[in-house]
Amino acid sequence: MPASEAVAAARARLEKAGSELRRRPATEILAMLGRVLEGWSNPDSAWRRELAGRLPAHTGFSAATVHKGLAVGLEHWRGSALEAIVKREIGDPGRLDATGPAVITGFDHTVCILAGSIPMPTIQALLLPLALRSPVLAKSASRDDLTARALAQSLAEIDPLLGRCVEVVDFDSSNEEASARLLESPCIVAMGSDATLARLREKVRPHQRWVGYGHRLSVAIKTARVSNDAWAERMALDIALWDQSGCLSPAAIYAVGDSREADETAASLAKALEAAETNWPRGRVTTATATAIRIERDEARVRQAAGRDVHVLGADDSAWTVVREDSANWRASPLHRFIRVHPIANTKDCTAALRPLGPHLAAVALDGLEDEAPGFVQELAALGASRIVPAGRMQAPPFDWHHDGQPLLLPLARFCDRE
Amino acid sequence: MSEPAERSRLDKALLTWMRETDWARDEERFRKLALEVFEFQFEHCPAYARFCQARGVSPEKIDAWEEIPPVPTGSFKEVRLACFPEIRTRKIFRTSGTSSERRGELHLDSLELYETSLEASLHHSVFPDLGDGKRMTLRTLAPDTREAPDSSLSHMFQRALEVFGDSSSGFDVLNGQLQVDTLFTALDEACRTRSPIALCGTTFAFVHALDALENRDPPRFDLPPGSRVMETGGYKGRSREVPREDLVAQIGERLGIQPSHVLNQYGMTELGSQFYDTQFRQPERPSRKIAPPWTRVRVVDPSRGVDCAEGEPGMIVILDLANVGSVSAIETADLGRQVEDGFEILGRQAGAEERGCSIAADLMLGAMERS
Repeated sequence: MPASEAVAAARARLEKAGSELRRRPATEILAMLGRVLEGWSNPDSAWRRELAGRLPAHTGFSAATVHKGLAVGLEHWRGSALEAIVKREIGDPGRLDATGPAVITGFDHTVCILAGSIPMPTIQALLLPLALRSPVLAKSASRDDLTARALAQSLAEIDPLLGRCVEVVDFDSSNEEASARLLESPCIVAMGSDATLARLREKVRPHQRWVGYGHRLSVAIKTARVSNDAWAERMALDIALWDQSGCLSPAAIYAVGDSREADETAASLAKALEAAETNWPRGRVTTATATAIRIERDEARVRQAAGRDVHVLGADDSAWTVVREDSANWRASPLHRFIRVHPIANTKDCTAALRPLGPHLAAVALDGLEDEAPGFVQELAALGASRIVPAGRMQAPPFDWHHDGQPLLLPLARFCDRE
Repeated sequence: MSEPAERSRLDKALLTWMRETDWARDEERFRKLALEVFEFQFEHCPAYARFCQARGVSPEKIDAWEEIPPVPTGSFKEVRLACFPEIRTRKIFRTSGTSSERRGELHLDSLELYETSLEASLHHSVFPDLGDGKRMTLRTLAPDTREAPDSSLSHMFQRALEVFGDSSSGFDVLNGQLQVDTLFTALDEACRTRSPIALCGTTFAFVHALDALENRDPPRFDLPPGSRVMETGGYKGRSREVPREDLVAQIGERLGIQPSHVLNQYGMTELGSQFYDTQFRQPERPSRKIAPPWTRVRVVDPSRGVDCAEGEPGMIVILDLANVGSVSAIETADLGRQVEDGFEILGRQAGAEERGCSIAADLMLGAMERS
């Protein structure tokens, strides 16, 4: 069946399932979704085991990285977290049953255009519309056609109707006809690069709801007040998980203090990344990625040869790299466990260095800055950071984290106020 | 031997080689000269010497040209990689870029090697039927050297025009805009006189020319046999991107130039030599780019640093002896693969992966980058 027809057929099935779903009490649906989340957070669940078993071959991540990434990422994803989001953004869940002064509903259905191959954003993106009783039409990511279907299967096992409320379609993004059909939906949630989002956004009309999650980056800031080795061990986990490819993966480290602090931070981190490679080996990389890593390493070596205080620590192959830079200036990173350590004198300079990154910031791992923290955290939030965490927790966003600084349910909801 | 004397000796050996018309590979001649050039650069470019020493390489420790450590092209943005004092700099070619970006620079104390190399390659690959006073009309879809004084591409086109162009030759880009009228007038004249014409320029300028042709009646020229296109430089976001096979097909359809006469040049500001498609000279053999005798192109596994098997993708590493006054061994961010005795460029994006949602690999941030 052509992809555009598959989209139309899926939408027709969702219309039917959606009308049944909206006849069920919202609290009942939330309870069912909570059970699904509990299942996913359980490392022994068959769903988790199956997804963890199949993801490495599809995505290129190593099996150990996938297992650890799911364990860290899903550890606290419980039904209570979903309830907390509802309470925070809607109030009493009963309000979803249209008994209060405002009628709050989800859309007839919600389209989710997925991206990347990290499972957690997919799981969350599909569950949130369901919490508003809006069935979901998902276009799976080109690099992960497993997670959305695995979630749909888990929903079906808990509640067959919920299972019928998620439809997954696959087609190449260049398929204009299928894309156009997909974008006819009243509510569109899209993930992807800025270019992808811009291209999609152009095709969405004003009466449609648009929720975009673009690509972002995260950074870490530490001082000499924390033990380098202990901090490095936790930071190495943040870098190693998902091979540093997520928006919550640290792309740069700012070592607050003198030049020696940056040296010691880089050395400790190198040791920890070497150990991480043993525990959670990096996945396969393309020739293009390996080339980018080699080029960045060698450019740093040339800067060092030119007399700058730069040095490179790395595995014999491209498995991990630490570049100790000599300034706070941002440099793009090829990722895949390639991290730069920048020396920085104080938090004021840190704010200045991060300012150009502000629009792209997601998380900041902050360690050893307890005294300055309140004011500094406010500055980071003002720059654009949406999560401040200690090292080691970057890849464990709570289910109710304000993804990209936005409410989670409100953008997916329609309100009708009764006067 | 003093630096100028040694440099003069090396230049002379290279110029002699570049002026020979036989492009047969001579491995021993290349090995010997490459090691001498490396020794010279090691001695006279301190940053490069330290780079090599940090990798445990020095002239007395190696006896194969493949062991000469390459520097990334991006290094030319970071460091002055030259084997002569700044006061002797006669010309600086700069990479393209916005005013907020630091641009790569190739410093030259003489243009003789640079021009001899480019003339030899153009003669061999693009104009093998010219020479000995024979010229043709050459229209250039790029700005001239007054408009782009630090562009190596404009310099190359200017030189090509001087050496191979007749009195009707010239530039068809002014103030950054393609001069459609002058270009089309030259094409009309070529059609009328049935005199072959050569069109040289940036890839995106050809897209602009083909787009402009849409508004002409009729929207095509039937250029005489022997006409040819040399395009280079890619798109750089300056036009819509057209797959190469489509570009070649459109040039055939709209200009009447056969595919074997549409030649791509692979070159970069940081190099003194360029690499051309072979199909003009060898239409019966697989299309590939050929390295001039004083250069070598390796396709390398970036993780292990060893040569890839023929056909396997790898990073392009170049040893260009025309860079004698700078650094000859260059590693590029381009991917390619070996094809017979030449190579093919696969581009920078081939195999690029996007597993997650991090923007860190793409984020250049204008002035912050390389500042």
